[in-house]
Amino acid sequence: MSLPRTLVIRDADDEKTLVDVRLGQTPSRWSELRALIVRWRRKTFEKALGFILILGMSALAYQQTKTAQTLRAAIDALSKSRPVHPAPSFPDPEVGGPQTANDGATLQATRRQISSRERETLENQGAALLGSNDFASAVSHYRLLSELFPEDQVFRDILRVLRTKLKCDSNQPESDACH
Amino acid sequence: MSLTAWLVIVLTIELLSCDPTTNETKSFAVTLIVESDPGVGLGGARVVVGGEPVGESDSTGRVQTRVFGRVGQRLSIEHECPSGHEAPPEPATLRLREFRAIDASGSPAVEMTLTCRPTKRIAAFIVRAKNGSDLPVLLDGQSVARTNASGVAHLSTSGRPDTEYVIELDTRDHPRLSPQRPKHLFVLPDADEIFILDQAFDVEPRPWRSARRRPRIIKIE
Repeated sequence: MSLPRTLVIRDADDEKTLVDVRLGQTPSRWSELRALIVRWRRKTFEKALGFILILGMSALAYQQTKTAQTLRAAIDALSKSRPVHPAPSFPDPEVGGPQTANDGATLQATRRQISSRERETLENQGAALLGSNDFASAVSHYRLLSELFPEDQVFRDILRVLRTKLKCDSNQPESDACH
Repeated sequence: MSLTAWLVIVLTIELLSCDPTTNETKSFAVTLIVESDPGVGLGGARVVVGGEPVGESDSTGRVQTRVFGRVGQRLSIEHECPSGHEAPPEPATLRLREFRAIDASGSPAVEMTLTCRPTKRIAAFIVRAKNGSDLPVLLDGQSVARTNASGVAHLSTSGRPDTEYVIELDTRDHPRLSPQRPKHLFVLPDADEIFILDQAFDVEPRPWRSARRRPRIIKIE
């Protein structure tokens, strides 16, 4: 960048002051550099924002996948631990079917990871099953709820009532709904 | 033939035709089934037959024993229920009968059912409140649960049959919900029961407020 070769000197005013008009007309090196920095900062900010968004979404997706995997493992463990020919009487309605130590550990891990939102979903599903009189599906659902939240007596009570309604503990052979 | 001779013949035939073992003391296989509800066996009940203790019911509610007596004899049966259960006030009576199996595999056991009704029954409540999220649920005036964000709540209690329960949804903190503080009455039958409470709330719209106008300064020239 170079200054114009010709210096235009305006008519001197009363105070006999000369003003170099070139300074106000052409951008200096500093102002250009500043504009460059501002541009660079804006681009960097946009890229960083995009990166943070992608990172956040990925972390959320990873966490959800992990929770889903743990839940799936717990459900598998529960379904495997159920005997093929259950005892004629319900051994311990407070807890449910027999469990191995490994299953217990999986359940503990699952309990820790279940968020209040997931619990709400499970409760809503249970209420919907009972509301539609689908007792057979409700038995397995409330068995899962009572095993996930053993401190809540209400789920064990509901499970017990459902088993009584379906005559799971009667002397007659159990129906498939009891499993 | 004289009348006396006829009578002697008839009496002799009668005596011969009678079962000679009728007055004989026999051993009878008896199976007693203790139930809390129809078809639901109950363990831990002590059974006494004819004044003699015969044992405790197993997990399926069965007590198997042998008693000695004559056919047609009546034996009183008393049973002591485990805690949380009560027996009917009248003692049961067992009449000894002789059965013969069709396939001749031996005489089947005499079966009798005894009852031990639970003194308390479970009452479980499922609350489904449409537009009623985060509401306290009162059971007989006491706050026992709270509806979740979807308006669902689970609660349970136990009580004697015919107990009345009042479930109330406390809407005091939500004045725009209608109806306010709805109550539902439930009566517990002589069985465990799940009660479903469906309650829909209307939400009154917020009163419309006009935007506050800024005071305008009017220049009077």
